[in-house]
Amino acid sequence: MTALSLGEVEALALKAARGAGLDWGLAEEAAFATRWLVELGIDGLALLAAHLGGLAAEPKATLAVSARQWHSPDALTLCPIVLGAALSDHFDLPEGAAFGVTQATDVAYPTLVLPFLANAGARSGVIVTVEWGETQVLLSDGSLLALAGAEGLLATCAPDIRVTAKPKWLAATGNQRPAVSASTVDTLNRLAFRTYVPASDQSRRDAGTVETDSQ
Amino acid sequence: MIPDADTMAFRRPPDQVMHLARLGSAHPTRLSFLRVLLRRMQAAHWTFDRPVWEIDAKGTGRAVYRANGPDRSYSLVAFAHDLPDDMRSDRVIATAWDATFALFDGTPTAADLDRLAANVPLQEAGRIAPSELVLSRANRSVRLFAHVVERLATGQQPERAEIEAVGYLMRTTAVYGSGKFGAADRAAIADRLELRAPFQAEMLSVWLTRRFSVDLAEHMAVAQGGASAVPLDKALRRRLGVGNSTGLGLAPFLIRHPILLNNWIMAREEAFARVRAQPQAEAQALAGFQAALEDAMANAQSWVSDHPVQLAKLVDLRADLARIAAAGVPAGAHPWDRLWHWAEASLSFEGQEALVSIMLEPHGGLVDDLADGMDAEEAKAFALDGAQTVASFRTGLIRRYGWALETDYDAPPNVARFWYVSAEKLEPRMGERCQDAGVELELPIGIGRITAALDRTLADWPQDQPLAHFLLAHPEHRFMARRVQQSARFPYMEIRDNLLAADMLPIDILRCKLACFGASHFDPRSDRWVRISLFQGLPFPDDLLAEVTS
Repeated sequence: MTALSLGEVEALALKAARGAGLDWGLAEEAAFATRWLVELGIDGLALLAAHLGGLAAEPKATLAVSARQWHSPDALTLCPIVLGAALSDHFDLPEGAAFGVTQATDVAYPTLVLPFLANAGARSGVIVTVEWGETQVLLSDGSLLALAGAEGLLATCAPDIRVTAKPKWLAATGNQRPAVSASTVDTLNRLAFRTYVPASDQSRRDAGTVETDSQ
Repeated sequence: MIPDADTMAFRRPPDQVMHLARLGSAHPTRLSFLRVLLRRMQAAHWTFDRPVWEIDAKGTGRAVYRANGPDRSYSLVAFAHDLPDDMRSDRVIATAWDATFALFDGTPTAADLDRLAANVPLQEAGRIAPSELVLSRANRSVRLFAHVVERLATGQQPERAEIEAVGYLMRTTAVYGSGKFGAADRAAIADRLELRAPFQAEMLSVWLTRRFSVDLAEHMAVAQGGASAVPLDKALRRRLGVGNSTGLGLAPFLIRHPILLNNWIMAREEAFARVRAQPQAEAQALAGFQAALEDAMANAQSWVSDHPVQLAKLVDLRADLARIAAAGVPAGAHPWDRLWHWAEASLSFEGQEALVSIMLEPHGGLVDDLADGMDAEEAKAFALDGAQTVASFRTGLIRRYGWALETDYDAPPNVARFWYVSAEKLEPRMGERCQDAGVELELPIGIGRITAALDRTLADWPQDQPLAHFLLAHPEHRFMARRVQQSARFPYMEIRDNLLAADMLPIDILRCKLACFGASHFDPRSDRWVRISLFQGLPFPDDLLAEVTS
């Protein structure tokens, strides 16, 4: 294993993406996305390598959108770099995620799409939720805020990606409260209970609660 | 950086500044990176020591030079080697050097030194860690090094003429920073005050290398001459810089980092505008101007080159400096601005750009703060604005890239060259389009031609549509579309010439960059590589505190 600097990650990703046939501007996007993931401790280089390895062998999918549904008219798998750049470019347009729930079908290495949506969301001042399969990712301020279903980050393909953008205040106060299982709450509550002192008659008297209000 | 409103009228526009003929005549200024470094270290009372000196009589071994600032220390770890003459090459493809270096973040332990000893001498073939900021190597000037050692060993000082003719005991052949070969990323150190300006770690490394080169020569003189050996006279010592040999590899950097280029040039141009905007010339500034002019004249005299292009430029420069001295600073209102207008009409680009540097020199209080704006947060300007309409985008393109649209890129002389990365040590090179292999792997350096292609495609696209639609259909134009949008905020980011033309001189790009670093004595060895000197005439660590460099 080699520990690469972020500069090396970026340079390697740029050249490899170009070598795999992406245009220069998209190769730059691939470098940006890979660095973004690596900075969060996600092995973006491995994802990019796997994706680019496949890319060289497959025909290039064209990307089309109608009613915020992104797809390939030739029914090919979508390149996450091409899709990510397009989702970013279109973010604040009527066909973009800022205007409503956006979906994409058959996306290779969906994790590589996250950096684009994180940045686009930050520019628009919204929190972006990206979901595929059991994976749910919350993106805020250009970074990853919360993640459920981490194993899905390694997915080689997502049949369907769903992107939702919400204003920060709405996301923070309403729908985005963490869903916690009852057993988790129970476990934590039992531990928390250890910080409480058991009640006694004396303690009750000292608290002024021996007699009820009605007496 | 937002320019001051009251200096706007005195700004040189990008169309005047960003052409190779002028950029290739750039001179170092007080905003050059090595000057910024020395000023900061002096102002913050940095101290310097040499905790390790394990060099034998043959001049091989290791040494550590430490710079101690108010918050942190940095150590140059030097390895001196015994290099056979037939292996001494300045090309990046070399595999052995007289000396190799790493700039360590802090004070290295013995274990660090052993780790570095196993990697630094290998340079690109080794691996360094986030605790290192810079990796570099240097070769001796065989002739001058031998002369200095021989003289000092016998109790004599070297000939001043010999020192002036070469100008350095060692020349670096590569200085790598910013995450290269495992070194610390720029992002990891960019918030340190002392490293915020561009290339400060690299400059510190080279400056300490200069001290090492003198120590090594004095050490070998003692080894040869014993008790009769003498140290190098300090006045002579000051005439020694560090040489640097720079090839094509540096040129694509400026094209790949347009926001950095903008910030460097814009800082200088804003500084120059501030000086021109001065209603009067203060007596102190006039005296400082005179001193800087005399320094420039002495510098032009000691500037040696064999290259016909540079020889002609040196003739111009010397004549122009004499004319500036004869003309003097005009009396009356806005004297600096009037001096500039006279120069614009009377002097060559060499003379004009030398005057820019001379005029900035006595105005430190007015311009030095601009050094704080020379770094760049490139990531913040990376994303494209897909919502911009094609019409609005194209208006900006035509306004800011008109220069690119005038050229006929079907004419062979206008696309004679192409830039590529050689598989041999991954070195950027330039080929001849009609005869060399590899055109299909061309780097996007010919910005003019790429822009013209983008403009042609845009012309046929519905103008009221958002750019996002255009880019979805034309991903091949994404690279240039990003630059066009960036250029709205970074007016000095593009070199406004055709970098593919048969008559383009890559050394002009190199000189532009090297002048920003603070290099002097540009000596082209061909149309594509140049030797320069760094720190020549500037203080050594032991005289920094005693002197005023600003």
